[in-house]
Amino acid sequence: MDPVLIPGVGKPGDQLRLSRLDFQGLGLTTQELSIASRLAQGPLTAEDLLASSGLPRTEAIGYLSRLIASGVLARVTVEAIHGSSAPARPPTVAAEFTLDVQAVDLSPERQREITELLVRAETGDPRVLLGVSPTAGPDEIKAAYLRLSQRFHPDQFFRKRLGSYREKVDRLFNQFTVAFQRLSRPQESAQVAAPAPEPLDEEEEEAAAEAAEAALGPVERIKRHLFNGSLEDAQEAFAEAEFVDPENLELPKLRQELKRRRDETTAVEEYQRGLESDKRSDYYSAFRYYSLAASLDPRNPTYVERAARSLVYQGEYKEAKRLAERAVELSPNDPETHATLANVYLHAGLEKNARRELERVIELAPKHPFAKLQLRKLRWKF
Amino acid sequence: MDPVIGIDLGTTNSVLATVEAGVPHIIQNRAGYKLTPSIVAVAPNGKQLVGQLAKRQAVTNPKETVSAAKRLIGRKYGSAEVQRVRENMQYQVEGGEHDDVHILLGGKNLTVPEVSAIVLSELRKDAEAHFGQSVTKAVITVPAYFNDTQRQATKDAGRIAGLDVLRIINEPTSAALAYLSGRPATTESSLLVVFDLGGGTFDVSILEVSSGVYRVIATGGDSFLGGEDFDQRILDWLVFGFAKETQVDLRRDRMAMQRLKEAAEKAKCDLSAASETQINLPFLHSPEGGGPAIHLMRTLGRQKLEELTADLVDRTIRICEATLSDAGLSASRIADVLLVGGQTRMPRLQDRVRSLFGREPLRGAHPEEVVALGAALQGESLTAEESKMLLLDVTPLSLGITVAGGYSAVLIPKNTTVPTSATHTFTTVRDFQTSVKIMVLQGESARAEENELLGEFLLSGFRPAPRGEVNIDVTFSISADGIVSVAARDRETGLEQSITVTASSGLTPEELKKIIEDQHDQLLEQRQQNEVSQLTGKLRSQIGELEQIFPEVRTIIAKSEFGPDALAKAEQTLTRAKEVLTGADLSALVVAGDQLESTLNLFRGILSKLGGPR
Repeated sequence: MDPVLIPGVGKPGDQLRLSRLDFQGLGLTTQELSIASRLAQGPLTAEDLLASSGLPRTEAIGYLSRLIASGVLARVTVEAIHGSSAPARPPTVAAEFTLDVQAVDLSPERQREITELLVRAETGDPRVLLGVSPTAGPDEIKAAYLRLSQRFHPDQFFRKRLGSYREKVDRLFNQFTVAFQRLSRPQESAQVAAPAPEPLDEEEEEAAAEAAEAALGPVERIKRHLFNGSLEDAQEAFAEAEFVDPENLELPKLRQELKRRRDETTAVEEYQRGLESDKRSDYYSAFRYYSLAASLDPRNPTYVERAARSLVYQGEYKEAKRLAERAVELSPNDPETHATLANVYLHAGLEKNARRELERVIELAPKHPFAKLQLRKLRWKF
Repeated sequence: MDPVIGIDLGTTNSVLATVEAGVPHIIQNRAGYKLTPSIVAVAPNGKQLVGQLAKRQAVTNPKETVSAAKRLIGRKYGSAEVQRVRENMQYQVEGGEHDDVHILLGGKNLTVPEVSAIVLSELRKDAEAHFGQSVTKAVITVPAYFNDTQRQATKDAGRIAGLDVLRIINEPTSAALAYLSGRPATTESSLLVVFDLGGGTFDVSILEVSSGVYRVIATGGDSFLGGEDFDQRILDWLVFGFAKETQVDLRRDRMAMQRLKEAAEKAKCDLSAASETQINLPFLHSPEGGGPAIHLMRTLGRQKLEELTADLVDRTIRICEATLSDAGLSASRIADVLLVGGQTRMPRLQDRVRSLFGREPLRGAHPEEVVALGAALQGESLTAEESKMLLLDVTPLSLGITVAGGYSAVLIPKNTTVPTSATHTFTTVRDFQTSVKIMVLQGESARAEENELLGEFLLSGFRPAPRGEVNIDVTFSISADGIVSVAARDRETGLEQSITVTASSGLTPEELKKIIEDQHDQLLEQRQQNEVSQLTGKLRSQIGELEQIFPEVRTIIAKSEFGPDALAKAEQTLTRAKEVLTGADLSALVVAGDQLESTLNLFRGILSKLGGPR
């Protein structure tokens, strides 16, 4: 009779509504934000929300329960909705806005729109914010940006009383601009490009592959995923293994391996960010990314060497020398590490040491342009 | 609704406009001209002159005549640009406290915003004469390539002039707005280039216009390249030629230089239509040791002018090309090219623009007026309840901070749509570090010192913690005016961090406040003087009337028994009123006036009742 309880959420017919709008600092994931944003228009039942999330059911349930636990969503039980007395309408988002209405020159609809857009901005997906499809072309994206600007540019509220919405409108327009730039600047758009729409017949193939995989034991699957480099799947399989086969002797080793691989991936990401920062000549940030990468993956000489190099640009020669020496230690036959160390010496004015390192570079790579140039310069000096 | 005005505060001329009944139009100044020369002077009798009047006496009073103050606004005294103009300047400037420029005028030491404010006040008075009411709301234009300091200084000038500056907008954008506002709105988007060469600055902006949205894609320019530089080339040529001919260096003769300057400007204008022009300056120079005065007579051909200024024209074209490449566009994609600013009348310049874009450039009938018209339109749009028009302008220069090693780390790249902001996290690098200094820069160079230092900020009062644990989020914002502001907060505690500006080349808020207060004091003083003179005039006529009827009243009273006390009292009042006249005490004047009035009323009564037929 009673519908089955959804763990951590409640009954499928329970209504969920947003109970707070300040999401920053809660550390919500993209998926959680996208679920929360669906409620900006008004409450939905848990069942509808799960169905419309577009995510696997169990995964969506997990997000939902976390959102309820963190107080972002509030639950109104089926009983309260269909109570015997006059049905107490669950407070909607709009009702909460009315508290603010007297204070600002903004219609409640406008306030709700602004809030909803800010929720969409939180997803970090520029296409979601601008409300364009993953396949939208440049013209469509630009049209969406201009349309939103025309409605929400701070000039449209020039010298009006906006209260807390002043800051929100400013932030929103900035987000539009950032989103538009990310989508329209070709060199960066690669990172945010939509996942290519998959042809239909592949879906069947995938289903078949999944079925075949399920036949394997979880430990085997971890190894396979690790081999394929799909760390997310490996992690999932690991969780399953811990549950069904906790005594397996291979698990501790696999856990370590998994962590190392994840760290390595993160290190690559940090390294990429560092490279980007370097491109912007933001050596300060670059150093932070490189040293993060180096701490995640201490065996990789490139990270250490890059960190050293970015410190040279900042004039922190002592620390740069330490790092450059470590890079040389890690990879003694790489001319680049020696070149970096030489560069540190040059900047610090230790010409003798610099010459030694430069000569080592030439030994390893006789045509190294930096080393050749610097050695020539040093010769002129003596 | 309060009237809103648009002001094109130009290097050479300023223009005033407004929107009435939905139509933008120029407001003439009280002398009946559309252009007001951006010139301020103090005449030998101590009177302050602005505009046409100041320009007219410039030849005879070069030392006390300030022109082209816009070339100095928001600049550092020590900068190469300021030192360069100083060579050709007839008035005196000196360095201020924070390396800003001060102008010596009429025995006073004025900041550049104060001088610009004099021009703005004049325009404001013209607007008030037009509307017949007080006018405060204004949109002021600046060259798109102006940096933060120059924009801030211009806004300060507006505030000193008693204006409520709604917005600082870019001149080329403003011109585009005015030029296209007459056209029917289409949803079709089109690309427009505005080529704006004014008296002192060059701007080029590429805009995309569709259904009421004016979006600037890229902007470039040189805030030190304009018509004045073209004049200077002619001037140098004349001075050099004169020296070769007569061995006289005119550069030390201020009055001759002023005449040459005007002649050079006129010759340049002539050559836009004619292919040759005569420059005749009789009695230009009187030799120091006596002897006959020397005349100057030369012929300048268009070709020679083009030769003299070829590199200046080249510079504008190069900047155009660079801006196109910033926008990622080829010249052939541009649908329209709009020429703005008096200097674009030069045929050679038009030829070069035509060949770059492969099309005939557009120019309104009055290239000097469109900028002010656009400003008025923007003012109208901002104050309107619902506006269909929207300007999306960009920041012309990258905003960054100095990082260790003397490099600049860009936080907001140039050509980013404003308003915008970017947050950068600063981390402590030492244990228990409590403060950090941030140097904010504007410019494109990777080396910090090659960029413009906007200001130094000290973030302080960090909570004591091991290094790396305190993270301060510093948010750098650029407003729609293109003006930069900085805010900081501790990431963990969410507390606002205090920011102290430790160096800036503009006016500090305190200085600005003091200037505005002084300005108010002056206004009050002036008003008091006006009232005093008004009351004195009234008192004089009252005294005159009383003295006139006094003998008659005296005879009448002598015949009656009516109190001689009243007569004595009236005499007393009269004496006191005469005493008050010599001073300037406002309240005493009022009291004396009232007393005189009641005495007069009494006497008038006596005369009409007892005086019999007069």
